[in-house]
Amino acid sequence: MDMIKFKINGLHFSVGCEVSSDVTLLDYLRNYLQLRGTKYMCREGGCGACIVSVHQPAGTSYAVNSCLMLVTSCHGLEITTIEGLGNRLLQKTLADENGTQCGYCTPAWVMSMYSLLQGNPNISMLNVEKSLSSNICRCTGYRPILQAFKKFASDAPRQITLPDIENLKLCNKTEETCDKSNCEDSEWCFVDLPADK
Amino acid sequence: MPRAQNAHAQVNAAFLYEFDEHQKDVVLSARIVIGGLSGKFVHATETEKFLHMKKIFTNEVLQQALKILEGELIVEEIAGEMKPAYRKKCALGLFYKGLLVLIPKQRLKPWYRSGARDFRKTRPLSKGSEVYDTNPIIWPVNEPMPKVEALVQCAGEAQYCNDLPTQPKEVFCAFVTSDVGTGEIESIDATPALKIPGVLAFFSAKDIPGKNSFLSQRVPAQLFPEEVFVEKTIKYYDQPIGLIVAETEKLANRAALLVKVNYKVDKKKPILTIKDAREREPSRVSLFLIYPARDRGLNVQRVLKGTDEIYAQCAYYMESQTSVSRPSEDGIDVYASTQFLDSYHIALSEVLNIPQNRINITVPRCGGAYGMKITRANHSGAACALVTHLMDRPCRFVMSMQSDFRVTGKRLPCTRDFEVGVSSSGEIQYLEYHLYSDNGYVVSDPISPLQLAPIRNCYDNRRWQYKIFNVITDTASNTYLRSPGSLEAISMTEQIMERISYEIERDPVQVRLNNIEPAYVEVQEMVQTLLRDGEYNKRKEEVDNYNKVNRWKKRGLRVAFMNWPVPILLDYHVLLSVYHGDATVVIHHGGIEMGQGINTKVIQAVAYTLKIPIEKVKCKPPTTSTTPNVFTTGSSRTTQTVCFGAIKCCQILLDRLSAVRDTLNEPTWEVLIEVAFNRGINLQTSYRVTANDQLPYRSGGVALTEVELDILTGEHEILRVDIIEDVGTSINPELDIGQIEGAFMMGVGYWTHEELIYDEKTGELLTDRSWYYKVPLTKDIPIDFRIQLRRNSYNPIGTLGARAVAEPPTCLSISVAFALREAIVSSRENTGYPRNKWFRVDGPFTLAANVLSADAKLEEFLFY
Repeated sequence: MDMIKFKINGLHFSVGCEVSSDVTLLDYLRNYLQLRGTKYMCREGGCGACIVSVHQPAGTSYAVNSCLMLVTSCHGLEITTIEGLGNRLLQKTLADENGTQCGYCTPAWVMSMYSLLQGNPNISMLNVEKSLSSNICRCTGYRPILQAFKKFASDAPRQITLPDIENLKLCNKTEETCDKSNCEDSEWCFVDLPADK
Repeated sequence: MPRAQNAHAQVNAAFLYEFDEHQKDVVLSARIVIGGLSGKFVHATETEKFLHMKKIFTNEVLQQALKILEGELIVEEIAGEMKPAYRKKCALGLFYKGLLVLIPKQRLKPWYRSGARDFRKTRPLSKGSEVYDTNPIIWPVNEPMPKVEALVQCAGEAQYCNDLPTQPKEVFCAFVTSDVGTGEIESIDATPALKIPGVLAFFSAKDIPGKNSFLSQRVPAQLFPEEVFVEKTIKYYDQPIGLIVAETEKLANRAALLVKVNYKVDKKKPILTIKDAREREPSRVSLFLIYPARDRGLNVQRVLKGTDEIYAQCAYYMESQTSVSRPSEDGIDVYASTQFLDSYHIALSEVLNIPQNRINITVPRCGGAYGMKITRANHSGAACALVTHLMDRPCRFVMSMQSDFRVTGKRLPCTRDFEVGVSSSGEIQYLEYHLYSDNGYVVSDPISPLQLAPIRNCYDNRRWQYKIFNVITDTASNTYLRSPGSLEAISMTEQIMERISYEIERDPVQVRLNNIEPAYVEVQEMVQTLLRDGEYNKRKEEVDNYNKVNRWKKRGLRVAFMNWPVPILLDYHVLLSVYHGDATVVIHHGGIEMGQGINTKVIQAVAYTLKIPIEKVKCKPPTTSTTPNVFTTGSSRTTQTVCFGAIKCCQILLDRLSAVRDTLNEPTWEVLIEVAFNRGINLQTSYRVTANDQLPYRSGGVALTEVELDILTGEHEILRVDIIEDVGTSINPELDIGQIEGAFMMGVGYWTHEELIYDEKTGELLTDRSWYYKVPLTKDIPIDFRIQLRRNSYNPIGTLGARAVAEPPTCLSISVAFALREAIVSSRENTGYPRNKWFRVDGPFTLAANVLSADAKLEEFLFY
């Protein structure tokens, strides 16, 4: 194995000896790729501001503190950051419930919840509440965040289901489901719901 | 655990018992391991040996086992962790708890059963309710709506200082700080740091071209200078001595630790607390003000005296102190996370010794501030700009969490002495009240003036005399933090009310009502609503009944009342412009958006005044060019004040437009603007709101809190909180509810588990990161959280009828501390302490405070 290969937001990346072995996924996202939607504060997995979603093709999806994960340990992973979320149902629900004040912790909340739903689409409201202990919010007092996210639980009075990201939009070129695998790096498109505009 | 989740346990334990197959309570073997006590203890071998072949579920064996266990536990002081006395008690409690879980139900007296229950396993789904009025006739003001930036924030598109793209040749820096609490610098040697490839420079006081102070006395309310870098005398442990500049953030933080400083060490033990100062160096205590009593009652039935202490709190903003500076063609461009643009601007100008008009500062937004970015942001900001100035390179200074915790001052610790004479109904006949505040090493952020008005809270103070003192200690210069001064003063007053109620054995609500200021009718009205909607009398009985049948879980139900005086500290510019192309409106104002929703409310006020849709109006981040000389965003009334200025701007514009409007037949906004533009009318208006435009007023609120406490571990659960808050006619009730919930939870942290521990010998802060300093998480919130905004409320002297909301509810969270005290009192009654015997709990009701105050005896650890 001469390169560490992984995907970020559907695009292939690889790192080798050009990155130091102590470069974290967080610093790689922010400083190498300039993806600055992922924030940080404590750099020790205590505040949760840097959480991104990770999917192991063979296994399940989960949230990780990108400040604690070295980029060289990401081989084979499919990583999603707030920039790659595309679908805005989670974000919009959180915004509508007034679940963001200063907003610095917010992208990480979205990524935590996204990971939770990817890993367990039938999660109950109680388990939503129990599963978000890695994120700190100093502004809201949590209730509005929980209120927003509980709407995605299977036992919520009016459940909102998150559509699968792959089915969101057809590719303009191929008219087929877009997984960004046939794109050149220079090509880009908005993966977005028209209703959010 | 100090909080409900995601915290390391203070004590952890595991128990494995092998029981005889036939005689089910005979222990064949036992394994008992307990961690968190010391490096010397894990296995309770003596106790294990003792339990062999014993009938464990008998009181006699249990008591003997507890004694043996108590004897063999080795508990030592561990830096940053709770007191050994607590960890020992908790270890014994866990041993007992484990057996309460295992004992067959029929053999356990119901009285002890609650000890087996684990909050983590039984916490139900939390819920909340919000009740408020909204009047659609006046929408978009008074309309509940999310913040205008909410979606971009949720989508990760909102830009904070540290999200600016990196520029070529950008450098990073970190403070080099002192390793002694007091002393003098003899020499500094930065070579070990500079030897590392990528470390570029070291700067200290001698490199500063202008003044070595980040607090200018040309700014209102900044009384004394504070050094950017120590020149000679060290004032506190971790005071910045210099600055390391490096190519990466990580490298700068690492290299900063390698700079060698030689000190002439001061042998004297540093003075770290108000108590130290009062006992060892009374000259550090200075009287700020005496407020005399104007009456004295004669019906003195009881005299109570006492002292209470509360300590510091850290803002724990998610965006630590951050600034980015870049060289520009006329000087320097700075992106800052500050609440106080003017102070920051002048600080940079004085430190760099370049004119203000060559320094262009933009504040995109603050990722949390809570007052700790009013003056403290200047420190790292000045250092960052210094690097750009000296090296002509872009610089980014993001203080690491540890550095920020250690360098930056916090909420002022307070001590209050009092003597009160009361009648048999608890009516105060006289009160002598002395409040001492620990300012840190200098009184540069004046909090004392902010304490004067709130001391009386909502009570009749004619018979009260108070003295306010400033205290200087060898700690970082303390600063503003959500409800500065007022939280401390109101809490200390509420605590006296609680004390009276316990000592004379009267209902705490009645005691308060017997002292309430008759003129504050809105507070009295809210109290009545709270008692009714919170079902106070019924629930009080329920709590009593619960406590009568449960030994190891106790409940408490208590109130807190609040009257928050809203000062008139304000001075903001508002600049409103209309584009003639599409008649959209853009506003620059001096208020900083830090989560409170100022932009949303300003847009609502402008859309309402101009009668245009809110989509037509946008706010832009403040800059020193568009909104110079602005006062800090703070004291909870910036939003309203800026709304006032924005409305003035609209009115000036409407006046100018009226001449055009009269010549047109009911023109649309777009037509009106286009015609006005073509006729040469100025479509830009501005207004400076000053104290002359606003009057002081008050914001009231009341809270009723019910908690459940585990006497064996000290953990608690907040069962229900009812808050009623008077926000007047809210400009946006949804945002105000968010402020109330957030402020209350910040206070819950302060009163339950946010604890700063210092090394007593050196003054070094030991709890400097997320591992030690715990703020509330999702499962620390009340299980049932009910918020009401006072109905039909209108503030005749506030802009659009609104009242301040962002800070006051922090003061209501002391109700959680009171409810915990009540739960502890109930446990102490079982142990044999009389209910009316007051016990001191200084600072937060931590696990340690709860267990040690309850002081349950080992002899009470029984099965039947």
